[in-house]
This record gives sequence, structure tokens and C-alpha cells, in this order.
Amino acid sequence: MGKNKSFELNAADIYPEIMNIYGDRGNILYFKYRASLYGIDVKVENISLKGNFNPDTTDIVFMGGGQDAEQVLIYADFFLNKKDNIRKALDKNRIMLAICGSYQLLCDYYRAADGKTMKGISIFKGYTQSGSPRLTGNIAARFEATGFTLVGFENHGGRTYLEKNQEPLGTVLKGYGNNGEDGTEGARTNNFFGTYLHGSFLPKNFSFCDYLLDIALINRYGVSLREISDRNGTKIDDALETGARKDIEELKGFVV
Amino acid sequence: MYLSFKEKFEIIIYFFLKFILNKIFMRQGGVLPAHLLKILDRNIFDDLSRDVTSGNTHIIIVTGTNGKTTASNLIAEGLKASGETVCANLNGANMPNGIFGAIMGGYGLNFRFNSKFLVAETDEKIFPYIVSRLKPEVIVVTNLYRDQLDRYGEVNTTVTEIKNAVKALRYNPFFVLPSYEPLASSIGYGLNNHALYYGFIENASQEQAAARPAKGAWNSSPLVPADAMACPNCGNILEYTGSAGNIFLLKFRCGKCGFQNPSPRISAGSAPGGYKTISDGDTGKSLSFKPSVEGDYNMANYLAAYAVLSKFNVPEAAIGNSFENFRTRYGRSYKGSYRGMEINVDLVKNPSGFDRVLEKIAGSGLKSVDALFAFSDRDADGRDVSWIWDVNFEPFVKIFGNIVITGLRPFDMAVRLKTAGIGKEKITVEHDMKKSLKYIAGIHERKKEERGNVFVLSTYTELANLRRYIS
Repeated sequence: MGKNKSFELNAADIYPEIMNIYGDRGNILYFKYRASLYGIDVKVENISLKGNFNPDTTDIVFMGGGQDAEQVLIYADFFLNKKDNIRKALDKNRIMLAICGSYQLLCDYYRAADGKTMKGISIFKGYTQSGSPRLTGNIAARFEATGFTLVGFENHGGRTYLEKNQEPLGTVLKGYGNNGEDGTEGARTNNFFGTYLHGSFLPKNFSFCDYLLDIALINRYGVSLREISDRNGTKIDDALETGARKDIEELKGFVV
Repeated sequence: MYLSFKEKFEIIIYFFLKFILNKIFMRQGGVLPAHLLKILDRNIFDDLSRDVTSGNTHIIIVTGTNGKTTASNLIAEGLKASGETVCANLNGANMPNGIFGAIMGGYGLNFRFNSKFLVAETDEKIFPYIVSRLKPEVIVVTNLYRDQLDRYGEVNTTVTEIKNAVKALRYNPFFVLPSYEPLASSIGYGLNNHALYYGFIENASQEQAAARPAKGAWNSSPLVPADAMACPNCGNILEYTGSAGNIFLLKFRCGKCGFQNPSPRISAGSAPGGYKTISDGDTGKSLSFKPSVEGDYNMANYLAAYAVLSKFNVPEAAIGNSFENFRTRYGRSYKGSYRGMEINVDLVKNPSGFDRVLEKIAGSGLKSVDALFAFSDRDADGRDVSWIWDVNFEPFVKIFGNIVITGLRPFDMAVRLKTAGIGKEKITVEHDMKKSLKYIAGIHERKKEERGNVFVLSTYTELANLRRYIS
């Protein structure tokens, strides 16, 4: 591979105008920005109602949270037009980052306060029970795969309970996580990640963003992020990002 | 109805406490005295409500996400200019203690509520409570956007709560609503109330057009300039047309139930020489004036105030005078000075409001704007800082010169700006506000090219800190 080979990744943003609650679009903005620092160009395709993405050419799929009324809008379309390709993407080791409401949609089902259940697509084994009060606040969780501390802001009424054999994304250090009881936060199946963390999530957790970039590059080009940055002599100054993590008063002591 | 002896005594205590706080502790406002009295007598707000609503006072409630302090102040000033007596919580203290503190302050030595008008700026979340007590004659809803999700919850819930509170009344209050914002506009939909809608006509809001020369910049953003994706009436998807990216010219329609933007009876237009016009489509009356507060979002506040004032037959001359001489006294958007330098201060508290301020700055025509961001996450600011990722900074990257960021969460803002494309070398983080002001002033003074004003964009709790340095 020549030194000047340019790398390109394709991202799909599912329902960007509907499923974006409190800054989840920041994940795509930051992913694209951070990739650019390594000389990687990210093409973002907006996929709304009726639209679809190609699981062969898409490296990473983003989906954010939504308000209740908005989640109703996408529900039928999600099963009709998105579900099959999301499953294909999972099997092809593609990446998906699902925040809050869409994380719940990737679990088995959601049970509302009135007992009505809404089916999910069972990428993550577990269910969500609506509850009160909302679990709100700054949160820190350890990402077990690398030991990196994930930080963010959670704000969810639903309590998610994972099955025993379902891998969580992380272990709660401070805050509530999936349900405020069992110390788990989020879920991971293959390269699909579900989490309750806003913040936005990726800018607050730049090492996790690198982790995703690395997976995407290995999948697409068979080359790691480390190799690319070594080859290009990339030096990234994370002082601002690190400062943002350290500024969170309640998480002092958990974030280094 | 007269107050009981006990309540008269409580009003004396209120004035006494306020006097003490004012003279000895140099603190303004009636929030704390009202809070203390509420502890002494938990029925006091209900008793005051009964007393105020039993007289001939016209009660006007102003709520909404953005602009309610300015709109309330414009209404109060317009009424005063026509010689009316007005009681109002004009300092933005819009929770029950602030509203009832203002009401207690409206009593005279005869223990009667002295004002012919009560203008109550009301926080959206306590709107149902306040409306049930004060039974307003007029309700203004400026707009309903997503705001501090951790405090307010979903905006759709707020819409439902406001509407249900109005439906629960035994009479039909008069609505003043924006025609271009679907959620606030929907408050009047399907109800029998009289509703007066206000809005803009094409070409009137030039600022947004000027602020968005690059069409692609908007198109690349998946943000739709409204927070209602679902029809607030039936939940089906809402279709948007109208000028792309201009929230004040937004047209919306629901294909299922037919809910759509009403045509505004009160509309804004532009005239040469910096003049603006406000026209009443029904009466044919038109007011021409030079606005004292800038920005399309302030023009929207003028429109709302005009609608209320014309309903109460305030003469055009009084409206025009009060509009031209209007000064925001309580500092959500004001011009101040620091070390002889002119400073524009604007409150930014949610994505929609932030976008409007950026448009205003871009509309100033300056090529390189030096700015101080004061960004914090205390309760009143919203604990979740994620919302800055919904602010559309990307089209405005080029207008900024140097940026200094202070507050409790400056690094979050720094990362947001860096990601938007503002060079790291232009951004300085300084947690200490005093130093941060000194620093931006220093840079600004040394600047060789056209300088203009320094812009300060501040979250709610930092406004008070700024007051210590900016006069």
C-alpha cells in the first residue's frame, strides 16, 4: 500500500432529523472530524423514512434517541425498511452506535407504563421497562474491552435489563446505567454498541471513537488505525477533549 | 374582595423583608420574601390569586421557550406608555415565588391590588398551576422548542400540558401565538378560543437570508429548523415547506389531519432606513418604527407585544414610542461596557436560541468577531451540555476571530467549536471569568483590522457573574 493511499469510510445516519435528541448528531460530526485528523474521509449518508442503506458499503451506522412521539413515527418504517439491512450489517461485522431510544429498539422489547409492549429487533438480548423517575445525571462507566472510562450524560425513563449471556458495553462507576440496579451500562453484540450516554458520546470519549475507527479500517482495508497514524506521523492533541472529561464535577476521581 | 387581616399583615411583612434585603443585603427582587411568606402561610398564593382575580385587573400570561422575558417587558412598557398601571415580574423571575412576589409588590397601603394590568411571565412547566390560579384574559405563547431536557422533559409533553391547562378553564382566554412555529401555534388549534397569530412576510427577515449565504451549509445539516417532526395534533409526520432554513418563514402541514400554519394577522415587514413595520391584516393599521433591540427573534417579540397591546387598544403612538425606547433592563440581551469597550451580551440557553444569536452576529456584518463564551452546567443552565451539538455552528465558522471560553464547562464548548471547524489556535479556555474577560479585551485591543464590538454569549447562571464586570 502506497503512502499516499487515501482512506474513505461510509457512515449511515438513520432518521437524522427524527431520531436526534439532545445532541446525538454530535457523534457523527465528531466521528467525521476525528477521522479527518487521521487523513480518513468519512462520507455521511442521511437515511430517513422509506430510505435504506447498503450493508456492504456502509462501515458504520448511527442512530440516536428520539422523543416518544417521534419514535412512533419511525417504528413501522424501521421494521419494514431498516431491520433486515441492520441485521445484515451485524453479520458483516459492520459497526452500529445506537443511543438511548434506538438502543432500546435494538433490544427484545420495550414495555410501556400501561403494559403495552413494543417489539424490538433483538440484536441485544434484554428488555426495557418504562419507569419513573427518570434516571438523569452525569455517568462514568468502564469499557471492559479496553479499560477506558466512558463518560456522558444519561436521561432515560426506561430501565433495561439484559439477559445473563448478553455482554454489556461497560460497568457503571458512577450513575445509573441500564437500570440503576445491576451496575451494567449499554450492550454490545459483535460490533454493535448500544448506550444511554449522551454528551455527545463520541466527543466525550475520543478513545472509543478511535476504537470504532480502528474496527472500521480493519474491516474495510485490513489495516489498523495505529498503522495508518504511524505511517502518516499523525499526532493528535486531545487536550480539549480531556479537559471536557475532567470538567464534569460529579465524575471527579473517576476520570483521568 | 378584601384581604383578611392575616393576609394584610403578610403583605406588610413582604414589604418589610424586601426593604431589609434591599437596604442591608443589597439584593433586588421579591423572590426570597415570597418564598419566606409561603413557608409562613402555605395558602398565601391561592388567597392572593383569589383577590387579584376578583377585581377588574386584566391578566396577561406570557410563556414559551425563548423570548418570554423580552415580550413581557415590551407589553408592560407599552401599557405604561399609554398611562396604564402595570404590575409585572419583569426581571425574569418566572416561577411561582417570582410571580407572587411581584403581585405582593403590587399592593398599596390600602391593601388593594393597585394595577389595572398584571403581566406574568410564566415558566412553561408551572404554566398549568399559574393559569388555574390567575385565570388570565390573554395567553401569549412565544414558541416551544426543546429546552434543557433534564429539567423540562420532552417538549411534546409541555405542549400537551399547556393545552390541557387551557381546556380545564371554564372560559376561553384569548391567545396570541406565532404562525410559523408548529408547537406554539398548535395550542390554538381545535379550540374555540379567539387566537391572534403573528408572523413574518417573505423578505422581511433579511437577517437570516444574509446569515446563510451558503445554501449547501444548511443542506448538509440534517437539522430541520423546527422541533416538531410529528404533527402536534395527530402524531403523523409533519411536512415542511417555505424558505429553507428560515424558521420565521416556515410553512408546515399535516397530510393526515390538515393541521397547518395559519396565516398571520399581525405581520412584520421592512422599510428603508432601518425601519420595521408591523401591520394588522384585519384593520389595515400599520406601525413603522426603529427597533431598539435587534434580530429577527426580537422582531417576533415585538409582534407578540403589538398583538397584545392592540387588543387593549393602546394607541399606535404609545406603542411606537415604547418600542423605540425599549431597553432590556434585566440583561438577557444587552449592550454593556468593559474597560471602555462596547460589549454585546446575549443569553444562550438552547439550540434554537443559540442559532438565532449566531444569525444576529453574522448579520452585524463584522468580518472577524471576537467572542467570549460563558458556558456552565448548573441546574438553571441545564445539567446536560449535549445540546451544544444541536447548535448549528458550522455555517458561522468564518465569522469568528478569537474566542475565549469560560464557565464550568468551557472545554465542552471548545471541542464543539473545534469540531465545527474553528481552528484550535483561535480558541482559549480560561475557567476564571475575570481573567477570561481581561484576555479577550486584550486581544481585541491589539487587533489591527476593523474591530467592532466584543460579543459575549452566556448561559443563564453566568449572566449574573458577568454583571460583576460588565457595566
